[in-house]
Amino acid sequence: MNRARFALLALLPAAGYASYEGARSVGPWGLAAAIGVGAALLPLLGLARDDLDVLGWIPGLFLGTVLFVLCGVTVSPIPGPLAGLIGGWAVAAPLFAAIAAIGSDRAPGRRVFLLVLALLAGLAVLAVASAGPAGSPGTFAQAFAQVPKRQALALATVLTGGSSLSAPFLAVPVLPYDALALLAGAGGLVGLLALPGEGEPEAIGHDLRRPDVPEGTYRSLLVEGRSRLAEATPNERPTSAEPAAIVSLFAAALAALGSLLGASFDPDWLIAGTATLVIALLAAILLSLKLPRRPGARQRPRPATGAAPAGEPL
Amino acid sequence: MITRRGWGAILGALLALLLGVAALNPVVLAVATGLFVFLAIEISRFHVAYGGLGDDSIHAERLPLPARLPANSELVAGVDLRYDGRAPAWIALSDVVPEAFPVTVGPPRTVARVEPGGTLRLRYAFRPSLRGAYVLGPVGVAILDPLGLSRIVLRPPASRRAATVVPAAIVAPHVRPGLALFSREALGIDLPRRGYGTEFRSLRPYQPFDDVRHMAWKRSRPPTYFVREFEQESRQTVLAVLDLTPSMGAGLAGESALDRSVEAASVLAALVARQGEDRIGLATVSDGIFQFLEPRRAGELTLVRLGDNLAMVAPRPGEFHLPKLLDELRERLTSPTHVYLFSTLTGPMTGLHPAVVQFRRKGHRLRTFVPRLSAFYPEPEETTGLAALDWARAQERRRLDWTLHVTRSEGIVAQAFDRRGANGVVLRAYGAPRGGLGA
Repeated sequence: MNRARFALLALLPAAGYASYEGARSVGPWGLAAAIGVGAALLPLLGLARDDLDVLGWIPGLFLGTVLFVLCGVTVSPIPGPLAGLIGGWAVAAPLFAAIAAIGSDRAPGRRVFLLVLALLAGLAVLAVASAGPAGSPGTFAQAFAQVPKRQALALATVLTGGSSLSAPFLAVPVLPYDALALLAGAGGLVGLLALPGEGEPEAIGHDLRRPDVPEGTYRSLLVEGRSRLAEATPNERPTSAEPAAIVSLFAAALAALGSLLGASFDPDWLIAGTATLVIALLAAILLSLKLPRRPGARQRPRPATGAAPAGEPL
Repeated sequence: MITRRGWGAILGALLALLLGVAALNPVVLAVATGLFVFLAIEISRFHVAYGGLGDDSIHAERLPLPARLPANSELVAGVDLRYDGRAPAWIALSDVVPEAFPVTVGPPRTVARVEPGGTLRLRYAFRPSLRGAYVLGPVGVAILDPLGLSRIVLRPPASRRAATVVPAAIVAPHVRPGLALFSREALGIDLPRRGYGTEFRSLRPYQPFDDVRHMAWKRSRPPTYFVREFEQESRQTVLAVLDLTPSMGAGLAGESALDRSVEAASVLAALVARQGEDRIGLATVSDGIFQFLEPRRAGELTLVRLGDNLAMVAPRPGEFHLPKLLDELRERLTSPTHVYLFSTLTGPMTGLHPAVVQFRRKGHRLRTFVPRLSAFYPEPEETTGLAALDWARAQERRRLDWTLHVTRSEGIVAQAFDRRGANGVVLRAYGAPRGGLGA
C-alpha cells in the first residue's frame, strides 16, 4: 500500500462511524440488506488486486443508480428484496465512497472530490439516522435518497435570505462526526503530499520508446565508450515532496481553521469568503503561469537537418 | 505549465468546494477549502520558483559525435546539461533518437535532482543500423514538480546534430574492421605495388607537358613528334556502378540486394584507397546514368564524397539496360577502367554484343556482381505463403541462370552473391588484375 492510500485510511473512521449509526437505526436486517452492504464493500477487492478493480465497482454502482432513479421517480415503498439490497447499500454508502477515494491514489483531483463526497454521504446517513429508527432497509434507502432534494431546498432558502436550520446536513450529532471528518481532511492533505506511483514523470512531450535491443545482448564498445557510459548521472526518482511543501500544508491548515472560525462567528459571510478565496487563488495560479522568462543569449545554431557537412574529416 | 494531473486536481478541488458549499456544513467546507488551498499554493509556488527560468539557465551540450557514423557499429552518445537556476530542481533530460538507431544501452532519458551550478549527464549507446542522413535530437528538458502537478518544458537551442550513416568500410581507414577480417592469407590474394608500368601501349602526339625521356625519336619527324605511352599497372582506374532499379530493393531493410551492393562498393573503395595510387569513381543507374562521380585518386576527400553518396543511395523507378549503360560509360570514361557493376541485370539485353565489343575496344574491363534475389526474399511468418514463395524463387533462379549464361557468353565476368553480401567476391575480383587469384 502506498503512502497516499495509507494516509487516506483516516477517512475510514468517519465513514465507519456514519455507517454504524445508520445500521443501528435500521430495524430488521435481512439477507438482501446484508448483500447490499457486501456490494458496497466489494471495491475493497480492488485495493488488494488491481485486476479485479473494475469488477468490484459494478454491483455498488448499479445499486446506487437504482436507488436514486427509483426514489427520484416515486416515493412509494419499494417492494421485495430490492428494497433490502438498496437499503443495505445506502447504509454502507459512506464506506463505498471512502473506498473509492482511497483507491484513486493516482489522481489527486478525483481523490479530493471523493473524499468530500464520502464525508457528505456520512452526513446524509447520520441525518437519516438522527430522524428516528427506520422501519426497514427500504425505508432507510428512501429517506437517504431524499436527502439531496431536502438539502437543495434548504440551500435555496438560505440563498433567498431564509434560515438554514432545516438543512439535513446540519441536523446531525456534532462532536464525534465532525472530529472524525477533520481527521479525514488531515489524512487527505497528507495523501496529497504522496508522490505519483509508477507513472512517467519524465514524459516531456516526446514519444518514449523502449530500447529495441535488450541490454546485455549486444556489446561492442571499446574501453573509451564504456568509460563514457559510466559518466552518466544515475537515474533517480523523487522520493518525497519538496521541503517547501510544508508552507503549503500550513497555509491549507490555516485556511481550514479560518473557515471554521468564520463559520462559528459569522456564518453569513462563509460563502462569500470562500468564493473570494477561490477567486484570489485561481488568479494567483494564472498570474504565476504568466511570469516572464529570463532572456538569455542564444547559442550559435548548428545545422539541424540534411546530410553531414561536406569535407568534414572522417 | 500545469499538467493534466494538475488541472484534474484543481477541477476536483473546485467540485469538492462546490459540494462543501452546497452542504452548508462548516466542517466539510473547511476540509474542502484546506485541500483546495494546498493544491493552489503548490502550483503557484512551483511556477514562481521555476517559471522565470530562461535560455540562460540551462546549457545543453552534446558529446562529440562523428558526422559520419559507420553502419552497424555501436556508439556512445550523450548530453551534458548545466543548470544555473536559483533553486535545486528535479530535471528530466531526454534525447530524440531516430528509429533507425536502436538503443543498445540505457534509455535516452534520465531524471535527477540537480543543484544550482550542477550538471546532469545523459549517456546511452546506439547502433546506426540503416544507411542515410538522420538528425539526433532535439534535446528535451523539463523541470518537474515531484507531486506531478506542474512542469516546465525547455527547448535548449542548438541541440540537434546531423549524422550520416555510411558503410563501415568507408569510415576510419585506420580501423576498417570489415577488412581486417579478410587477411591476405585467408583469401589467398596478393596486392603488389609494382611501380610504373613498362608494357608499351601506343604512340601519341607530343604535348608540351610530356617528359622528353618518353619521346619516340625514331618515329618522330619534325615538326611532328610522338611520345610512347605505357600501361600503368599500378595506377588502375576503378568505377563502381550500382543498379538502382526496383529489383535491387529485394530483401529486408538494411539487408537488401542494394544494401549488400553498397557494402561491397564501399569495401572496393577502401581497397583502392589502401593502394594509394589507384583512382575510384561511382555511378548509379536506373533508366540511364543517374549519378556519376568521376574517378579520382582515392584520397581522404574522395572517400568522404563516395561515403556520402553511398549513404544516400536508394532504389528508383526505371528499367536497367546493360547495352545502353555500356555505351554511356564508354562516352564518359576517358581512360581504361575496371568497371564493377552491381546489378540484377533484369532489363533487355538487345544489342549487348556490339556494345561489349566497343566497350572493350576502349580498354575497359567489366565485372558484374549479380544478387541471387531468390535468397533475398524473407521467409514468411506463416506457412500459407510458402508455396507461392517457392514458385517465385524457382522463377527467379531460372532467370538468374539465363542472365549469367548470356553475360558469360559475351566474355563478361559475372558472379552471383546472396544476402550474406558480395565482399568476398569483390575482394577476389579486385585482386585478380593485380596478380592474385583469377576471377
